[in-house]
Amino acid sequence: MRTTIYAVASPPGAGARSVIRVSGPQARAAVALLFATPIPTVRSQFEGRLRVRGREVAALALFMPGPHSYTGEDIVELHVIGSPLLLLEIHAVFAAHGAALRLVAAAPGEFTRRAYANGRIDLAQAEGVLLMIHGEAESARRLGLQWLQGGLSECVARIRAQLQDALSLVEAGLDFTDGETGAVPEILWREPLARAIAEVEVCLAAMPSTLPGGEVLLLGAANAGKSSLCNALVVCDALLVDAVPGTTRDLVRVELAAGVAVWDAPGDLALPSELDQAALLLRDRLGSRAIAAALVIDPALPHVPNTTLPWLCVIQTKADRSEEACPLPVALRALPRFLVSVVTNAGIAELRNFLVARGSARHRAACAPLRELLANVLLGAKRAADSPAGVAGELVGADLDTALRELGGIDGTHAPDDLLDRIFGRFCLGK
Amino acid sequence: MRDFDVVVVGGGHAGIEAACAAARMGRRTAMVVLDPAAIGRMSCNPAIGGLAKGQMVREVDALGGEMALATDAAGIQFRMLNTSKGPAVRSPRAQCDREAYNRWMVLRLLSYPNLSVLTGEAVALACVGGPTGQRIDGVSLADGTMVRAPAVVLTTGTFLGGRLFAGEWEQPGGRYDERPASRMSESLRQHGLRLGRHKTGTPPRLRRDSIDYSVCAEQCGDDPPQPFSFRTRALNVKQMSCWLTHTTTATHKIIAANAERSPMFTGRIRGSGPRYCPSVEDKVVRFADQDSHQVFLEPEGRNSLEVYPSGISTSLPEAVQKEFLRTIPGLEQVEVLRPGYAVEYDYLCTDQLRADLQVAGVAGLFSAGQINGTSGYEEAAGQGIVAGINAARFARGESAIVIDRATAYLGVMVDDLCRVNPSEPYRMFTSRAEFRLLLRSDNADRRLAALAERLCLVTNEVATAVQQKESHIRAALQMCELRRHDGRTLTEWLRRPEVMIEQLLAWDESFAQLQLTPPELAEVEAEVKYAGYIARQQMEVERLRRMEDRRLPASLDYAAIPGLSSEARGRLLQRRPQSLGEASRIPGVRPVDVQLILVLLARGERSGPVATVEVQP
Repeated sequence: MRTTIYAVASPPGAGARSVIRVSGPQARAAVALLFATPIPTVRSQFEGRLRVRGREVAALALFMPGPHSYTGEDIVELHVIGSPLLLLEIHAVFAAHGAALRLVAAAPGEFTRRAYANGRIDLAQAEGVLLMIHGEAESARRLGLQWLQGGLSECVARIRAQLQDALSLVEAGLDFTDGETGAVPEILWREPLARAIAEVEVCLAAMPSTLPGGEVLLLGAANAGKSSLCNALVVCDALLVDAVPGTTRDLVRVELAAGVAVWDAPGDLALPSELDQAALLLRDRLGSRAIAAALVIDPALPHVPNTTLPWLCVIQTKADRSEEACPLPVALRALPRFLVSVVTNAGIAELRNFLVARGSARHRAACAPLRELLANVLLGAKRAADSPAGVAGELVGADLDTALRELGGIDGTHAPDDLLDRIFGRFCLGK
Repeated sequence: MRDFDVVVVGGGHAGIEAACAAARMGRRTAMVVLDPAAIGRMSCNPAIGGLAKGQMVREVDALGGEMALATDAAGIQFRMLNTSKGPAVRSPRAQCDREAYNRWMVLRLLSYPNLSVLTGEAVALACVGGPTGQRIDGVSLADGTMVRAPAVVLTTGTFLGGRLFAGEWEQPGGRYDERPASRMSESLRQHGLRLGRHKTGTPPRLRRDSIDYSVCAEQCGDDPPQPFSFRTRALNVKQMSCWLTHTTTATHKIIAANAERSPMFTGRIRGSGPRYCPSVEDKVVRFADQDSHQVFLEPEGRNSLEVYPSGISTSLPEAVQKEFLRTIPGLEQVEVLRPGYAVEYDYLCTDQLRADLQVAGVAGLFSAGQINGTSGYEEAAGQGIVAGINAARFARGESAIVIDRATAYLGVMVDDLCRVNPSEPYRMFTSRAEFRLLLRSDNADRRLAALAERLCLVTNEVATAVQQKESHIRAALQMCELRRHDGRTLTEWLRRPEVMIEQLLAWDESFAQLQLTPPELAEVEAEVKYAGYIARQQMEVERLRRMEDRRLPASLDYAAIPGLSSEARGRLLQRRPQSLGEASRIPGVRPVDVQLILVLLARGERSGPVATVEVQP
């Protein structure tokens, strides 16, 4: 049976309204865990009361039955008042009772991935969604919206038409004898090919080259000094810092340089409350967006949290109190180690440089699959265009065919029958 | 006790290759034909080969088939087409003596070991119900005889429910003056098979001595002619010429004025005709801006009075045909021996075919040729040999042989047919083959040698000859890498577009001393000139083969794969494909569905049994 996934679909932190989106065969059943009101079976919007820990709060829900939903599956969207605390409670309910429903937290981008897998959107549109979500600059978001609305698919369709036009002219000369087609001057296929190349280049240039991706999650025991470190790294007091362990419950992203950020995360607690536990679950889930984890360790209270992320470095805090290297598990001893103090600012600049350098190097290229496909299209098309006059048609054909097949990876397939249609539309052939 | 291992219904180009392949593999084979004298009769143009088709004839030949041998024996003009282009798109074509070709095939088949030719009309399939569905048990003939066999190949061509048309004239028929096979269609429907309707046409035949050749352009054969078959050492043939003339504005005027009398336009023919082989009325109506079309006057044989005017197939009324013919230069006084006509016939919708050309739903029933909605002798022969091989294997309970798209045009064709139900008669084009640079007419023997030898389709001598050719080519390629001329290796020289392999023979004595045959030289040249492209295509081939060969466990729970379209899920559950390649060929299964199955398989390998593994797309 398929899993049902859920995620908070609104920005983190307090706000007027938070949205929780649930998608999958058990979407209605999942929401019924919280909702006192019966959920309709047809596409609808309805008001009701959310029951959490014996209290009731007003909520709005939207039910979009599959296959005519974003993901192609049943979707319920729950709109509640924007309270991080409430979200954690809802998460706790899902975590506690979701197993029977195969209800799991969504991996990053999973809604979009399901939409793509279910044929609701093509790759070009999926990339548009990612751009809109992650695009930093306004221009990138605008481009994302345009792609989501099919703009990229249209552009790809134009490129395909031109490449097919060129290829059909080349193929006509190969699949039929000169006696049948008459001479086909090269300029006939070189022209549409040049137009296609220009269009691919425009498309590639419009794509932002990077997305935030060089993100590092700070992990450590509660009160190890992660929030103070974040403040020091960006030289401001953006984060609430307190001597009480567990002050940080939300993940907070602090940008160090373009595309490079550290996430301040809740620390591991010795005796976590239910709420704290939910916060830690959230940490692990959101943290999977990071590329690596940095261990923040207080030599007075050495603790190494569990994580699935690779370790990037070890940051020993409170160097103003003790400069003695604290003992570490074998696996972590080879990592770069920084001794820092937010009081004296010792080691902070060095650490920042290190994180920026590593983060930049690990930048995920934006739209990587799309970029790669288009680059391959360009490669094939250019090889064909750069061939000398009088080149053997079957080689031009092979290059154009490569280009078209790569293009097919973006929004569909390229079928030889499309080509034959073009040939027969243009030439009167056949004996 | 069965009567035979394999029964082939029909004696056309598909039937011949199917029956002979099964017989070569040692199966007791029967061919059921309406008239043994018509075995191998060419219904239309007396020519074999052509672009992409020539490659297929060579592939059939590499599997020990008959078509290329018959062509070498009966050919009266041999040409290599597209010589101005690269080796991958060059194809042999031969004009044949229609009588000689037919005679050669009749004699060959009547004396073929393990093969019996039976005269009769097969009117119905005989099936037995099994726990897993119906299974073929033979065919029954019109006279009530039962011919029993565990495997049957249908190669009925245009004869199933055939109707002939010319103008207002219409009558049942499979070919001019030959009756159709009308009852088999009904039997196929009764067994739950879907049939469609296709159309094709043929031009009028002209009397040779009524043509004025002085105003036509002569087209000679190649000197020296290249044989079709890898088994033919040399051709000793006096070639005949074809002649080229053209239609005129006067021709088009007559055709346009009478176009509405063509059964294509009156709607009496429902079937769709091929766009690549349009009737002359089609050409005139669809390309009204062109005021002339080429007409090739092809001799039908050395002593034949008939001439085949290629390019003007028509189903206009006989009187109109005569009228427009006489407006063509050289045909002013022409006499028509037989009028042109259109033929409409039943074909099996090919989405019912499996990759071994077995018809889904009736175990042991195979089909090949025009009944599968294709056109052309070569396409028919290619399917015939694939169906014959698989029928022979099926009869012994052996696994199916599927030739992949990277190995042969035969593989491309069968794969295409299974994937879609073509809306017009299917013809092979080189552009249908994504690995065209690998699928050349010169290397067909090397591509299929291993298969031919394993299935005992060729004699030991033939297999040894291919091995020798292979080693000569390897040696030559190695030498080109090592030996230098003017500071560069021979390979480097040969990669240049302007350098031909003959140049190397002049430059390098050792290379010349290898004494490669012309076909071997051609292959060395192709391998070197295409090297970069071949390497790229080879990588793509590997990827394809890995996917093709992924086995799908019988227990695979398609209902549990999220994201599969309901159509794909239904078809997969019904067909239960054995490999991912087979799954991808099932109509209605989208590329994204294949990807989803692939993801499931990948997860399964990491974490246990596939059927129980959850997949998140």
